[in-house]
Amino acid sequence: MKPKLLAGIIIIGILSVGAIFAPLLAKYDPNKIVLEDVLAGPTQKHILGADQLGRDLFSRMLFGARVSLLVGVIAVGIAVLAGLVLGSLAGFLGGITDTLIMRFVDIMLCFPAFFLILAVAAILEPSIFNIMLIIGLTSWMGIARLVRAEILSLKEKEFILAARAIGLSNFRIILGHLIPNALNPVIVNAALGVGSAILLESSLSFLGLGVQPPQASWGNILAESKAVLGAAWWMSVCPGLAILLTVLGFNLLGEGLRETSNQ
Amino acid sequence: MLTYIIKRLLGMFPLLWGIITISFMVIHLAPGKPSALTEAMNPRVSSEVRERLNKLYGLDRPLPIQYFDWCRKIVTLDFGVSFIDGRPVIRKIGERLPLTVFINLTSLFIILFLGIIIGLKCASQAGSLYDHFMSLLVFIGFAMPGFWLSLLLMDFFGLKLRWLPISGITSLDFEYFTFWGKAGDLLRHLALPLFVSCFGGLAGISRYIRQNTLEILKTPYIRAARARGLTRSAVLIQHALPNTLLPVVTILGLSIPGLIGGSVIFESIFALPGVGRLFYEAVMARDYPMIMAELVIGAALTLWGNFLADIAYSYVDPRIRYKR
Amino acid sequence: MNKLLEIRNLSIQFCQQRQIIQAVEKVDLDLFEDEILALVGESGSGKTMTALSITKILPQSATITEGKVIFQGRDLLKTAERDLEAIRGKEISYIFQEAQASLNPVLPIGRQIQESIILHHQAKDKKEALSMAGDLLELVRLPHPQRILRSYPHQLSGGMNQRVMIALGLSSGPKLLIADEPTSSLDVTVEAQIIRMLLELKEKLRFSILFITHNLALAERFASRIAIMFKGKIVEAGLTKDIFSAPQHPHTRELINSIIRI
Repeated sequence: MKPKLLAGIIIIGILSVGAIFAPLLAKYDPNKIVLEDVLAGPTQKHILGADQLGRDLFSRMLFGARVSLLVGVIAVGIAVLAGLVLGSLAGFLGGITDTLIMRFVDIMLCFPAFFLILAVAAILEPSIFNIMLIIGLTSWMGIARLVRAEILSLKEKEFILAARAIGLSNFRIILGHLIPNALNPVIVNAALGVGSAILLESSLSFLGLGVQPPQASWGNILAESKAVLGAAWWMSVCPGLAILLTVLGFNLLGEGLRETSNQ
Repeated sequence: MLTYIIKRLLGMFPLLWGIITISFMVIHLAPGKPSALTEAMNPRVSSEVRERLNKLYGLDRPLPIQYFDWCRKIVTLDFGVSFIDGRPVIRKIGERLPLTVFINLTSLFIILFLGIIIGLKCASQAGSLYDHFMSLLVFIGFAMPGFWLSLLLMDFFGLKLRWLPISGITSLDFEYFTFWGKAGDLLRHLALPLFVSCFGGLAGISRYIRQNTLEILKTPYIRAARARGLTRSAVLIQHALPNTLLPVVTILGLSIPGLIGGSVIFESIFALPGVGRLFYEAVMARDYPMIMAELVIGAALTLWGNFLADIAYSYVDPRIRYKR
Repeated sequence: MNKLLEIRNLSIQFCQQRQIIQAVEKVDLDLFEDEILALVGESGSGKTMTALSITKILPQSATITEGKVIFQGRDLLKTAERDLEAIRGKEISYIFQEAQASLNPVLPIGRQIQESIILHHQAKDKKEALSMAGDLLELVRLPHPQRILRSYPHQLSGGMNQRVMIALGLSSGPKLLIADEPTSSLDVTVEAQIIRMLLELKEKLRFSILFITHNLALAERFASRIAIMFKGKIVEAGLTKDIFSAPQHPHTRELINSIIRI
């Protein structure tokens, strides 16, 4: 196996275990306020220290991992679904449908993504569900372009012409033949997309427009650390490092998959 | 060439219309009347705000009329007045724009300069220790959250070492400085924001230049140049570099939306008075006219940037400039 | 006749998908001053690898495992890269199959010839180099040389680009011109023109040609001696007329028969 792929799988594997078994692994309730532990440094009691309200940082980090992974995976799921549908329609039907869909993609790409996300986040109430939706609906364009290009090149291949010749309907050709063949680059793209969705979520939460306290997310722990900068290094180092490693993990996974599928 | 420019210009109009329409949809995104909903869900929106919203967008009128009105206002660059201080939105943006443009152009310049050096060096020594080390750095650069990097830098250079200021654009006693003192003061304030805004972009560009140069080094004209006796470095700089740089022009155009979006983060962390922070303040205060104006202007700037990049590309590539 | 180039026991390996392939195996080849030697073989027989190894411009995946390449009494395989750079394009020039692809697409023709002239100290300044470039284009019988100096490769036809490559190759008066399938991508009439011109230029400027081709008929018209390469080895070498009248190796016979059938 490619070393990048292996590294990515290991990082994401550890993270997923932490997120799934968060209630078992966490020694404390992540939202329990303990006044005598306020800003306690890393010790036996709190392995990653405690925050400005005396909550156990390690427990909060574990529950934060749930948020990050959930948002990343579901947002990308939405983006992949939208990209697959619109991209394959554009590529397969061609003509005016293609033009309209691709112009729509062009228009969406003009918006600075972060502006659009913030604007929508300002109008809708911030919640995990809305964040997934917003990130998903502003990041499908690359996948749509990719799927369309793949389908345009596959369309002329012989097995598709054969499917046409035996009289399969458009819908069945797209679903049964084209999409499975175009899936490889989409998977690579999706893995990279999860990384950037996690980055976006943490940025939003950091700015106060994402996951709302007291629910823990890596982004809002970092936002809280800003007030105690210089007094509690563990509060800024731990969540930041977690985001960095997670995004790195998904990027390595994506690159590893790309290298494997190119062989 | 001229016909190409005119064609591209005309092609921008449908996109501009699309930008205006999607922005209109964003404000009507919430089910039901946006003003009613925002009030119900958001105590920050008072009834006074709702009234002003109604007046501004005519939210009580039928949708088609609202839509027509919205388009008419934007075409005349009438974005209304800010809810925060009642000043025209377009003027507030105008005041803040130069700083953001300055920071972004400067970091673009630094990114390009360093990206070319790093990318070329990696490509010419592909597989070396340096190349591996740099590609590791690139992976970290891609994954680094800009706001975290900002926090770490503030903590280290601002609070621990006390070398650099951590917020604002000038010191309190700025007015009393000499010219060079003022320049130095500005530079000290901008050092960390510039570093942060370069960091992520540098990863992308240097990686792109590396890949692109590696492809070009395999072409017959590079082999032919070597066969003519040119040194490795002459081949790299005089023959590979011009070909590598061509597509970078378009990449720069494509990177505009990311740069504008990134401004929100570092401008709000370092408290810099640019359009990014203006946008963040508008979002936090639910200052709708400002949000909408920045959304439309940001997208229009991107559209314009892409147009310029396309024109520039067709000019620098002789294969397009002189069609046989 | 004096020996200009002497290849002894040359072997080249290259790596492809983690497999080592023996591209060239113990090749011996002699080239005399003022002669045309054709190296004939199918694609993949190792002839291009042999040609590229002479001045060590092989792709990175290929390595020379043993042998000597003696040019004017000096083993080029043991020569330092800096000294080789002074030989490439000055003493030994190449022209390649894809002329347009062998010219930099974003630099004007004039700049590329000028660069080569200045590199090998043939002119004292850029202006003189440019006027020399114009003369060279006239030498290879390109019409409107001044206009071509300002043109880019994509604006010229394949035949014109190959003439530009020849002008580039001859710009510093080389002793040896290595022509790797120079006419394979051109149509037959242009091929004949280019070949005729190369012969005339050779008489005029006195250099040797190592002519690499898969086309035995072309080699017969052009070369005084022929070496047949097959699966990385030279299987037969000799005077052109001897090869045709009494071919020794079965592969040579096969090649000759295929010409007659056409």
